[in-house]
Formats: sequence, structure tokens, C-alpha cells
Amino acid sequence: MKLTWHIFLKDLRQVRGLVALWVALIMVGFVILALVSSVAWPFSALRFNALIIVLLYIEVFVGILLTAAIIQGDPLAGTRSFWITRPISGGRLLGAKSLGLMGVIYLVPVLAGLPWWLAFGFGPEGLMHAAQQTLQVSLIATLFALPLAVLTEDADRFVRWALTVGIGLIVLLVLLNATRGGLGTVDSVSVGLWRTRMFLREWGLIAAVAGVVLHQFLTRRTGRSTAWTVASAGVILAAYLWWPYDLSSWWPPKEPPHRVAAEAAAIDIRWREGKWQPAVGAILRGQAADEFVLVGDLRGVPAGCGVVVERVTLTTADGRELPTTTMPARTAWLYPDGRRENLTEYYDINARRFWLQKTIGGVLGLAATDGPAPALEIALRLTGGAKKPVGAPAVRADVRFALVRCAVDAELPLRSGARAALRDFAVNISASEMDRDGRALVSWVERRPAEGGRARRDAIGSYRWIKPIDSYCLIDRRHQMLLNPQGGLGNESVFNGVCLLQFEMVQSVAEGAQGDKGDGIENMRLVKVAYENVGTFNRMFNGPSSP
Amino acid sequence: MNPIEIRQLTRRYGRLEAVHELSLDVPAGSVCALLGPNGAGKTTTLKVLLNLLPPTRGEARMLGVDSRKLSPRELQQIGYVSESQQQPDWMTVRQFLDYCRPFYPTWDPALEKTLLARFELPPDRKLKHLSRGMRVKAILLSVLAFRPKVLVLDEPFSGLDPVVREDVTSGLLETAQAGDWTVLLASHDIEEVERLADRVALLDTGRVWLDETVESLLKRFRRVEVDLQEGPAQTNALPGTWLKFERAGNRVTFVDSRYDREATEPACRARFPEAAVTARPMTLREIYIALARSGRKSGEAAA
Repeated sequence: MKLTWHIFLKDLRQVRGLVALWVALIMVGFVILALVSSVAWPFSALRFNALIIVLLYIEVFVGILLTAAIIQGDPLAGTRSFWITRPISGGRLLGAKSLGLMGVIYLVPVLAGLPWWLAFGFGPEGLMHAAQQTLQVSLIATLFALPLAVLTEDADRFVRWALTVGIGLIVLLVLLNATRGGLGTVDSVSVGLWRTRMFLREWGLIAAVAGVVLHQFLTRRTGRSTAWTVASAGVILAAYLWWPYDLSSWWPPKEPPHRVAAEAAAIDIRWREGKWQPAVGAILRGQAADEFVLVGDLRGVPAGCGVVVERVTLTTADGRELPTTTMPARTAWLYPDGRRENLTEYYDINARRFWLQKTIGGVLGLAATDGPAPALEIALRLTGGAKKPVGAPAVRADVRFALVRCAVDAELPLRSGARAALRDFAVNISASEMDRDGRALVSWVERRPAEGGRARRDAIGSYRWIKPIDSYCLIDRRHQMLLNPQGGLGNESVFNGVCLLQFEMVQSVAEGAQGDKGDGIENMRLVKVAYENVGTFNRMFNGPSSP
Repeated sequence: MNPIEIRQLTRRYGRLEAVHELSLDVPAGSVCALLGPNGAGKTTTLKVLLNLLPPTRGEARMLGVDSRKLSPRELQQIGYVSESQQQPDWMTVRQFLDYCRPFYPTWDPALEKTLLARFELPPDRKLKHLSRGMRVKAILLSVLAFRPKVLVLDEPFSGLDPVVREDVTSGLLETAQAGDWTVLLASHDIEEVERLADRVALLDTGRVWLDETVESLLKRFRRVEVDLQEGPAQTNALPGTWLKFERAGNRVTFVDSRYDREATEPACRARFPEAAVTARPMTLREIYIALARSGRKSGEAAA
């Protein structure tokens, strides 16, 4: 241990310049956050967000350099390394390098963030989440840099290979985007399968990197380690794209199965053909012969619960599957009171308390917490030149949906310049502006537990503003507030354990109320809604008896 | 058991065979020099010995342990100095020695101090700012200070000026007096090898074709000069042990690789009846050049 520590101290001395830069970057981030959380900070929120994103990229870049510098202080590839002919075993060197990485790349950012988080009154759980978020930057840097650092002999080769791999990854992403709609696209698979693939991708990557690093430290057989790296990357990519088995049931269920099944049985889903309703601004297409609408009746769904329709498969009477594409979120619509209105484009706050949106894995419909439950409709469009079959029942729908339980997790007043804390959830409004068109731009720094990784994105997708007129108010009760869903989900970035959200709210000022901006955002409230997936089910529906 | 044993060692780089079934034993306490032209396989052999490269076939053993399984326990007794080895250049000489010291239980601080003074190394200068000679001295110091049982030197004198070369050689000789060590040295610098080595192994195209003590080599090699004085001369069917046979006018010179006054002079007189024959001792450098020039086959015959 003494010698391991001795090597660690040597590494620390060697990379002290980069460590100083690393710490400085982290501290700069906190200073910016501190400035931004003050009311008087004149920065525009968007500029600030861009600054934070640039800073994050720089942090990842420096993290990559730091990882490489620590490892290549004693290169594992090649035959010219100093340490190989000295009484230093691969295991001991691995111990020292692990100490270096853990200490510098992982511990330093957490220690630097600790005072900030404590000042914000984070509890133990909040601290854990903040640390997790912060360490994502470190994890990205080390996962990228480690295999390259252990397989290359010097900095020149490392940089060359890092650029090659980086460009290769970008090309791969572009290709996947072009051919499959991107890595995050999960329209064609269930949430369970998607989560399984996520699990395989993330843990497969960690296991592969750990395997390569261990193998290289203990054997220094660079050829074999390289082959292992390439093979692992191929297997991980293949598993991510094509893994067929849903293993999510292996994780312990959160709800007693019988209860979930009973709730699922109460959901009545009918379906019918529909007419395409274009998004606002789109060219009116009128009747479309190649579209179907599935109508979900959520009356049986307990209040506060909902369903996520993950996949709908249309088959003809002779069993032939019709190629379809599920509509994207912005083309979803629902009929709260018989009016056809594209509510995902503009959310009518006078409507009942429900909303419809696309989440990771499907289209979400939520039951109202009061009043009658709305219908959930999902549009499907035939693709690949398929024609709508005629005859009754011409088409059968196999619907896969998940039952979700929703709860308001936190609720707090949102005031310009105010800081509120509720459990581990707090908001600082850094700036608020009201422009001539009545657009309110509000940005804030939010601390909240992060679910981590992909799940976190999912949860962010589930956060939503809600403004029932009697309970919450976005800007002013006298104004009809409309929320732009794009802005509603916000530009989000995580920095040093602090989640930054920017919301853009569009205010549609009621007629005759021009110039009456009232007290602006004084009456706004922020509501955090947490969704929990409690089960996934399949249901078959016959199509309507007549087209 | 010899501290260094190499058995049927073959090492390939793709299609190129750098070392071919090389066998060599270096007895305890001896200083063995590997001599050979560039590309003969000297450095590759040393790298396999130090586990810097795995052998393709055969084995190399250091201190009785297969080189592929060398552990810190063995490496605490093995010193390696190579011209191509990377060093922690960002360290000062003092930091470098401070870093190396804890790895060796046998580190001798007094010897370190002595050699530091002997080599006139500036303790506070970074390795990367040292001249090549100073750098070699610093590395050598870090190796000599723990009094290794086996010392492997790969071209330690390469590119050094005569003064530094003298310093390095003297340092090695002084340290050798104090301890019983085994040295394997690859070098082109035959003058220094002659001062240090008591045994040489000649390599060519990855094969050892001569392995002998320096004493024996110096004893059996002579440069023979024959003054023909216009008498008859028979230059056909010369003995295989006569290398570099040259005739210039009435003067014939050759290197006899098995010189024995009782045998060589009669053999000369049989071919050059009225000639005056003189034989003079050769340096290791001359012997090496004679063997190298005469080609491997005749060299093997001579050996």
C-alpha cells in the first residue's frame, strides 16, 4: 500500500497542472451558478445556459486529458515504459492509477461541490443525487479516455486515436439518426425492452472498459486488449440495436402484481379510424386514407394514474402486419370537451387537469385528478405504401401499454429572485423578463434528485407545468396562459449536481387586457410530477365493424 | 543455475524473425557483451529477457525465473539501462532518485551519494534538461544504487562523448568491485566492452555464432604478417581458421583465429617457404571486425 501511495503521489505531482485546471473549471462553474442565482445578474438566461454547456464540454475535455495523463504517466502499451523494468507489478500500478482517478477525477469535483450543496440545504439523499449528477461528467471522460489511454503508448497516439474514435462515434450517431431515428428512438420497442437495452449498453460499456483496463494492466498484451475492445464495442452496439428480450421483469416490481392487473383491466380502449389533424401551421391535409386513431377511455383509470401506450401493431384479418408509424408528440391531439384542438402545441389552461405528451417509449395519457377523465387518442399512419384494408373487422390492433402512477412530488411558489426549498427541491429564479409580445422568459437553477442517466431524461420529460386556474397560477389569473411544450420541457443541463432548466412560457394576453401585465410571475407555482411505471400490458382490439 | 539463461529463443515481428533459436548462458559474476551489427537481435533479446516483449518460442530466464513471470521480487535485483527507455523526464534528478528508492530494499544511500558526486549530476535539474550523457549517468545511478544482482545494459555508451563514456565505465567498474554481479551488455562500443566484459557473444541475424571468454579470444586470435621476400607463395586451400587473408605485393596478412605458434608458423612456411612470419596480438575490436568482415560462415568455422 505504501508503494501504491508512493506511485499515486508521483502521478499527482506529474499532473498537477491539469488538476489545477480541472479544479479551476469546477470552481468557475460554481461561481457562475452563484452569480446566476442572484437576482441582479444581468446575463440572459439563454446565454448563461450556453456558457454552462460550453463549460461542461470543457470539463469533459479536460477530464479526458487528465485521465490520459494519469494513465500514461506509466504507459502500458509499448516496450519503452520505465515502470515495466522496475519492481512495480501491474496490480500495484492499477491500484495507484485507480487512486489517482478516483481522487482527482471523481473525488475532487464532489469535494468542490460539497460546500455549494450544503449551502443549499441538501439532505443526504440530495447530496447523493448531486454527486451522481456531477460524476456523470467524470464518468463520460473516463469511459472514453481509459481504453484509449491503456492501449496507446504516448500522448501523440492517444490524441490521434481519441480524434479518430470521437469522429467515428459522431459518424455512427449521424448514421443511426439517418437510418433509425437516433439512439434515443424507441418508438418501435416497448419500454421494458428499451430499458433492457439501456441497461445492456451502459453496464456493457462499463464492463468492457473495466475488462480492457484490467487485462492491459495485468498482462500488457496490447494486441489482445485492442481486439477485446473492438469486439466489445461491436457486441454492445449490436445488443443496443437488436437485443430482443425484455429483461425488465427481472427487476423487482414496485407494486403488487394483482393490484396492477386489476387497474389495467379497468382500462377500456376502443379504436376507430380517424382523420388526420395537422399541427398548427401545417398544410391542411383533410381526410387521410392511411390513418387510424386509437381511442383510450381512461374512466377506469384511478385518479392520478395514466397509461403510456408504448406500441400499437395493426394487423389485417389475414394476420398480415401493417407497417405503421406512431405519431410524434406534437401531432397528438385529444378532445377534452368535444373540440378538436391540437393541445400539444398549445395547452389550454382552462381545460381540465390532464395532459398528453410523448414520453420515452410512447404516448402518455393521464387520468384527471378531478372531473371526468378525458379520452386518449393516438394516431397511426400507415407507412411503406400500405393501403387501408376495407371490410369488417378489417384491422386488429395489438396495443402494448404501461400503467403509470403519477404524483405531485413537489410544489412551490416561484418568485423572481426568490429562493424556495421544499425537501430536496429548490428553485432560484435567476432572471425573468417580459417582452413586448407577452413572452415570459424565466430561467432558474433547480436542485432536485436526479434519477441518473437515461431515467433522468425520462423523468425530465415527465415534468410539466400545470395551471388549473384555481390551484396554480403561472403568471396571472386574469390572463390566459399558454405553455409552449418545447419551452415547457426546457433546455436542460446538469452542472455540478445542479440541474439547470430554462422554461419559456408564452402568454396569450386576453382581449382587453393589453398592457395589464399585473404582478408578472408573482403568482406562479412550479409543480413537479413524478411518474412511476408500475406495469406493462398487452391488449388486442378488433377494428370497427365499418370503415 | 546461471543468472541468465536463454534457450532456443525465437522472437518474430510479424514475418521478420529478429531472434532465431538463440541460446546463451551467462554465468554468475561474469560480464557478457552481446556484439553484432545493427539488426542482429541484441536489443530484442534483452527486451525478451526483461519481459518487455514475449518470446515467440523458447524461453529466457532471469535469476531462475521465466522472463514472462518476472515479479517485483526478481526485478528488485535486476537493473536495466537502455538508450530507448522512457524516463520520467519531468522529474529532477533528486525527485527521480527519491521516486526509485522505496522500490528497492537493497538501496544503498551511501553509494547513491558517492555516485551522485562521482557523476557530477545536478540534483535539482530535470531529467529532460540534462544532456544525453548526464541522463545516462542519472539512469545508471538509479540502477547501481540498489546493487543489482543482474545488470542489463542496452547500448549504454551510445552517443556519449569520450569523457562521459569514461565516467560511466569507471562508475561501473568501481561498483563492480564492491559487489558480485552478472552483467549482460549490448553495445557497439568495443573499447568499453573490452574494458568491462570478460565474455562476448557475437550475434548476427538473430543467431549466436560465437560465445567465448574475452581472455580466450585474445589468446587465440593473432594478426599474422608474412614477408614473402620474392619466394614462392601458395595461396590456395588456406586453412579455415585464417581470416581476412590479404596480399599486397610481397606482403601477406591474415588473422589466425586459432593461433598456436607451434602450428601456425610451420603452416605458413609450408605455403611461403622463404617468408618471415610475425604474429601480433589483436584487440577485441580488431577481432570483431575480422570476424564480421569475413562473413558468418567463415566466422563460425573460425569459432
